[in-house]
Amino acid sequence: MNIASPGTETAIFVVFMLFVGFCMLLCVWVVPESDDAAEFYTANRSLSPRRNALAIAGDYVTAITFLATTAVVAAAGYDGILIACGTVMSLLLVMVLFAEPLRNLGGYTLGETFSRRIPGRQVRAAAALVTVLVCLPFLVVQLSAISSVLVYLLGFGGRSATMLCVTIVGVLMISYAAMGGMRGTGVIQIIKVALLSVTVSALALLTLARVDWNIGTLLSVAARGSGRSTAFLGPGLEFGSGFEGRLDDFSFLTAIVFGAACTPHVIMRLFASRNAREARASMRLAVGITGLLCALIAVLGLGVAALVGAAGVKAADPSGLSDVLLLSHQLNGGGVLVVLTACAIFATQLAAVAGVTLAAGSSLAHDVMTRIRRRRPAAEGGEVTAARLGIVGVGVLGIALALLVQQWNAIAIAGLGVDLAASAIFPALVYCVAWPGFTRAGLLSCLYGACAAVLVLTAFSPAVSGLPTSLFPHRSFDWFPLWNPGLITVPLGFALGWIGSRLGPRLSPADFRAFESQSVTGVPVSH
Amino acid sequence: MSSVRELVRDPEGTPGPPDDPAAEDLWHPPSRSRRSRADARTMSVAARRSRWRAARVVIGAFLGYAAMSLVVPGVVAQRVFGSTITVGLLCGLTQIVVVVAVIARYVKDMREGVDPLAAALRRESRGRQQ
Repeated sequence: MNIASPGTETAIFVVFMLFVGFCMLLCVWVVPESDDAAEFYTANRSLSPRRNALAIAGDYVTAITFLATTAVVAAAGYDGILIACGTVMSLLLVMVLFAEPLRNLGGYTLGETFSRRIPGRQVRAAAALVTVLVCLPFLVVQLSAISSVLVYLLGFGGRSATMLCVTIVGVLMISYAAMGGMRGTGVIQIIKVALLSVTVSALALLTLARVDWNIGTLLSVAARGSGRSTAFLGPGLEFGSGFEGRLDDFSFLTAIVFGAACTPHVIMRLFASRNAREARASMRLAVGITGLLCALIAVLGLGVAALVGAAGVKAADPSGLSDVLLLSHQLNGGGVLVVLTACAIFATQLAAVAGVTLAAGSSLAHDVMTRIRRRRPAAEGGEVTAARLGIVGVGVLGIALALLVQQWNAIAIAGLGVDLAASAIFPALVYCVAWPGFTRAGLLSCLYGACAAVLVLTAFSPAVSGLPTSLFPHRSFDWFPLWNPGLITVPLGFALGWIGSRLGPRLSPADFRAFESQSVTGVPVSH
Repeated sequence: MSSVRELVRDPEGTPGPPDDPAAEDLWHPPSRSRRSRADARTMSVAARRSRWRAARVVIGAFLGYAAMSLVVPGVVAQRVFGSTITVGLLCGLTQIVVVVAVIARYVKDMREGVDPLAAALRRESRGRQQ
């Protein structure tokens, strides 16, 4: 549905299309001149700490963090604030545990990082598979969110029209990633963070001005507007207030704190720092920016509940993904703020799609394609071409899946990616950098086993069947009670890594010392 | 070159024993001096310690906060003052304090206990290569 008046609607659309055009021009402008793999994957590890901090925050606060967190705060109040909180904590956890060791170990992809500790083709193939599995849900959810925003802006909602929009915009975004590489996506991430910060701050300030700068008033008006009265400010609205619902919420938060920042596209950003100290400085700034953005996003969510109200949201877009646009319209009546919001959302989606496909495509190219033809080592140019092919492949798969699950719950799709990252990547990285006894069998069973567990448990959860909001609302095979299996699969990932490591040869303690020393200094130790 | 350990301010006096005593005497890359080997150990132990201390605080603080909604939802929804400020929202504010404190402590630990040793080892390794 569209609530802008016809005149302003045209103006909004024209400015929006100009912005889209500008982004695409930028893409052609930043295309790296050389087909150099280091340039393509890590921008030659040359980004300054400030620019890299903006790019990390940009890669981390995706369109879905922005749109879905606002929607959850607007609908479930306190539970949404917890999610925003967990998002910040997750990046902080990655900062203290992994930022410096991973930068020091070098490499371009997750697979290469694992193989610095445990070499082998199988390790790289497993890491590439996990990378693609984690990236796909993120890609799908960002792409399917495009339609909610475009439908709002363009004012039409037919199924074929939305599919066409998702396809066209998706193709544009993926070609951006394929052409620009790490530097190109870095530029769009920085623009996006700037634009998003300005927009979110403006919306939050205007919201607060509406309630006379009184947080207490905002909370009570939001509680009234949400239709849940005082329950809005207590736990249990997101998944239900019974013990099972609260357990589900806890499970989701567990997955978020371990998995939200352990995603390949965020980890890949760490490799673009010049050295470990700068990686630390970038992460510190990135955590600060993310914290500020998440706090403001929580204010926006409360603003949606207070000013638009649950009834207004339900009438416009039940998925809640256009909540932010509804709020800006409410605050600014179809003026410049709506245009700004639309542009910020587009930039956020473009950046997210580009960042995620870049991570997945790079992993496919660097860990799989160029390894298969190992006897005939590919030239640097060949590797970049492979990475571009990988990006296009993952992108096309993402668009196809996005069209298929168009109506599915965004939180459920994003939750799948977060669960996979928390259950497979987080335990594997922890063991890799900290446990001398970790072996190849341990790594492989952790990666494959945890992914399989997450996929199986999700398939039999209420997210897929049994409820009106499920993927298959008319079927019912939901014997697993939780929407998010994180509470079970994260410990399972650790357990599988430990059990697997009982098999197979271990690294000698001296080798682990050398590895650990390299992870702190960045200098390989000779024996 | 002088031992970098002398340059490091260590508030607790001498560095503590390593976490894993079994692996102690197996650290012997022959190309490094005994002193730099000791420095590398000190550095790794210090880095490991400050990382895990920070991680424990982050995980404990957040999961503890989240577990409150699971275990004592009535307490979380309890109003403290006004009609809107609940125990849960006030606990949310403490998470901001946790973030700031963890970052400050971690960066300080790494700057004082790890960076100087790491820089010296890097210098030494460059020296060996030339």
